[in-house]
Amino acid sequence: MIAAAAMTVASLECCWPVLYGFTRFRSFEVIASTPVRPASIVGGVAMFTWLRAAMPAAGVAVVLLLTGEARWGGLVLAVVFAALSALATGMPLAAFAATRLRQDSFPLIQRFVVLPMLLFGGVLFPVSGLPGWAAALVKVTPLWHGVVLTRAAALSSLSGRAVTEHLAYLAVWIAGGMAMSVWTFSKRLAR
Amino acid sequence: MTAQAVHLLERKQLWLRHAWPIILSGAIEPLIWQAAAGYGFGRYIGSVDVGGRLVSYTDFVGPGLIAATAMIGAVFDTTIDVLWRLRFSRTYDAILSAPILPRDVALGEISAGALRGTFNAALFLAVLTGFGAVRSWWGLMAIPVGALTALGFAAAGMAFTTYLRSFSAFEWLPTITTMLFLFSATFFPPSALGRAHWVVEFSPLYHAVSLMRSAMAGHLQLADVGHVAVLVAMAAVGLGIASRRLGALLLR
Repeated sequence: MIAAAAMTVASLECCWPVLYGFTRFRSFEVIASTPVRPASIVGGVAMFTWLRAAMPAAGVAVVLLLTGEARWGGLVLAVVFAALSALATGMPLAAFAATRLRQDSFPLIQRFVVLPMLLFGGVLFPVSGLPGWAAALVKVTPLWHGVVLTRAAALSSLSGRAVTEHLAYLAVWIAGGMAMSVWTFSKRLAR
Repeated sequence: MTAQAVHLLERKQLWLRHAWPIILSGAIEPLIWQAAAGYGFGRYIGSVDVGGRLVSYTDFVGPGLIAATAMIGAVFDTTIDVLWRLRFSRTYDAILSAPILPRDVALGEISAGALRGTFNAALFLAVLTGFGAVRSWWGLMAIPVGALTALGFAAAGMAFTTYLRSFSAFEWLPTITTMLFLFSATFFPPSALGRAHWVVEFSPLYHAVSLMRSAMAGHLQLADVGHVAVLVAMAAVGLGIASRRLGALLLR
């Protein structure tokens, strides 16, 4: 739930606010008229999304702490991992949102991408319960890697190798999403 | 239903021609939940005791989701768009320059919301039937019960909207519907909450879900009269409030 809460918020944050930065509020255009470059704007969006995703994750962590399910050292780490995996989902969405003129496709993304990830991404039940092809599909999503890391951190069963592997995978998504965002943001702002 | 209210439905139907992908995708959403319950966490739960009968978890969740999708269709139809037409685009001001009363506007909008909720329920019933999750002709009860649920929530949604002034209040709407969705015996029987089970009874969706569950199983009981009464009362009170408020807001 820590990872799921973070991803839900990041997926919202990277759709509507990004689009409105170009259309309704034009805040990105205003920023781009200063010496700030599109890559820096994307960096700012990423940092804000990470923080914004960490907040609800921390909320769930506090509940877990109060119910005595986990230790707080592990939970802090869990929140950090959850927000990273949320960022890995969010940045490709931000790259996409920067290409849109209207918000019509966003509810469909929420419904057919985000919701299935929440329901089948290893949050509510182990992926091993799914048929092989579906499990393979789930393991592509950043959320699953976030869930594995978050769960291991909260239950104090982290292993160095697993952490490196999952974090490296998430880093690929984050870097890819940010690179795509820099490209789409630059194109939009150059118009 | 007055003839004037029917004109409002006609107007709505013209508008819907552009919005059908959203409507359809909203109606498909419960399928994702059903799949998660059936193929996912439901397997770890086994069967559930409903009034002495043991039913599989997939069968347990199905009727609950039909009621919930009727609610969600109706509520979203009578809130955000209605506020837009009421306060910003001033559609109702324009409509009231024709010989139509605020009561007709309320009735028309509520009927439109109820129809959308009923459509959601009927479509999901068809999907469940396709998956073999509907066991008897009693399953058809999903349509009238879904219609009553949608009517109650459309009226409540419309009445709620007339008190709002800005869109920021709608930030709370998904919070309210999600809370109702998760805690109205859709996914677990009230007894699962132990001594706090009575809390569930305050949720109007709980009454819709219970009624749906017994109607679709063909096990209607005396308690279901109470559930019907709650939904009918919601529809009547909602319509009354919405008509009065629309009159007060628009005929000044």
